[in-house]
Amino acid sequence: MTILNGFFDALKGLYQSSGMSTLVWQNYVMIVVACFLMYLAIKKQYEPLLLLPIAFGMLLVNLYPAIMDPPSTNMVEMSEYLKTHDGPLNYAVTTIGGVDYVNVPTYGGLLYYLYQGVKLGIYPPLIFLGIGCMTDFGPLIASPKSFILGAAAQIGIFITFIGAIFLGFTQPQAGAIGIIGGADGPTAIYVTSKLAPELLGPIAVAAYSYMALVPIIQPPIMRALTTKKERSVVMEQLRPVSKLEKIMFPVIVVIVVAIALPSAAPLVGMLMLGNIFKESGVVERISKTAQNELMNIITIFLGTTVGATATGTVFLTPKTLGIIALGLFAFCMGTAFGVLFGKIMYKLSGGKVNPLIGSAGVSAVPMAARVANKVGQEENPGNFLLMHAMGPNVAGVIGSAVAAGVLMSILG
Amino acid sequence: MADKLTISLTILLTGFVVVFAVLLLLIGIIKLYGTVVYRIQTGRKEKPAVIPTPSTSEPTPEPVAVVESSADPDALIAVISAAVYAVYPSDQVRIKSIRKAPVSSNEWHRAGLNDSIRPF
Repeated sequence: MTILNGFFDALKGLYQSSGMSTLVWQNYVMIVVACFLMYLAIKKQYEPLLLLPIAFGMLLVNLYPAIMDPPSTNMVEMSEYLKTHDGPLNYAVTTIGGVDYVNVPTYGGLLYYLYQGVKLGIYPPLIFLGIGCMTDFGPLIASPKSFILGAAAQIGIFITFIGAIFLGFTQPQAGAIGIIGGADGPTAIYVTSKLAPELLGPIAVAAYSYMALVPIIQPPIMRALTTKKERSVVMEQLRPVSKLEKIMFPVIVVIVVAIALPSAAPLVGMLMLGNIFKESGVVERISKTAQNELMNIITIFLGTTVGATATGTVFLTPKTLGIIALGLFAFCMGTAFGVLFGKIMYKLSGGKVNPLIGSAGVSAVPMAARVANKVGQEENPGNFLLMHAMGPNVAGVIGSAVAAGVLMSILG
Repeated sequence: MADKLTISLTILLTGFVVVFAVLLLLIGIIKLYGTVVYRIQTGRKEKPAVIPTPSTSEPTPEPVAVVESSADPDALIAVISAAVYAVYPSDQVRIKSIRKAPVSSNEWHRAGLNDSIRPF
């Protein structure tokens, strides 16, 4: 009988510690959401490199919330503690009301420790290091006016900030939501981790979802704001850019940005460090590691832990719907302002600039540039705008990092 | 409400001005050093491209295509000159300079671009 009682007690204990008794309905809804995101990542290939780890982190944390628990201290009564432990006491003792308590530490969950790289702002700059190693700034150097389009596309960030403020979000939260319009995942995560870490899950999911949906979101806006004649403009070929110019570029950009806006220095600095690794040609091993192994490892940690912040109770709130709606608005505004400034450049250049390339100012490298190329080819199949659109596209990466610096320095 | 409006307009104005100011500054600097570096390097490349040849009674300047390449410029000039003189009589032609022809309509260029954007 005693054995049977022990068996039932053990089963009861197992049940009480299992998900069947600890999970709430929100967790189950999030499990479904995570499975849907995995479907989008695997079947539809929507930004799978990040969406898949994000979705799986979301799944894990909603099945086993303690995986994100921070370390804590349990105060165990001394007499109870000594019943199960021999040897010298390794922990501090606190006396309350004449009773001694042993401060027994409990360790945090696995993803809690990996999440520190996000919380401390380490992973996004390291991702930028890898991006820098993979980015060719040649089109931007050949046509520096592309910077204007990269800047114009950031206006959506600041307009969305206003919308978020009037929808009841706090100032730092509104800044974090606005940065979705930069269409730059690492920048969005970096700013959110600094300004509003409580919104990290919804903002990361919104940012990466919209980046994946660039080919669907942007073309209608581009067509609506341009005429057939403007879309048909064939641009002159870009001048060749020498190796020396490419080597000088990262040094000059980091000097200007870090002096003008120090809060943008971690992102821009790492981006340019990666780029000088690539362009110098003397550290090929480091460049390859940064853009492959290091970036892949960081992507796994970043995606999984960001997904693990999306617990049911945090994610399933009306605020998330607001964030998703505002994120889409930010994205559309960024695209629209890029195209509108492209139209201004079209007029000022006497019809030499195709305004479609302005839409690529919203980062999302290289998808946004490919979309500009594709929409241009709908009017003229022999028109190749890809390299012209790459200029605003990489300018958008720098522009969104600068915009992030502005938000952090004012709201941080 | 007034506070919200104030902070909203402050952020909009500051963000707009700072982002454009920083990027316009970068445009200026990049244009400046780009022009300087490009001129210096183009000058270096074009100097050896001028090949004086004995003048003839009726020199016919031949506009010939040319290349800015990382290849050895002397070797390149020799190859192009040999090709030109193989086609035209050497006493009627004088090579004054060599410049790269626009390649926007080049079929190979087009094929390369097609290849690079095919995944989309």
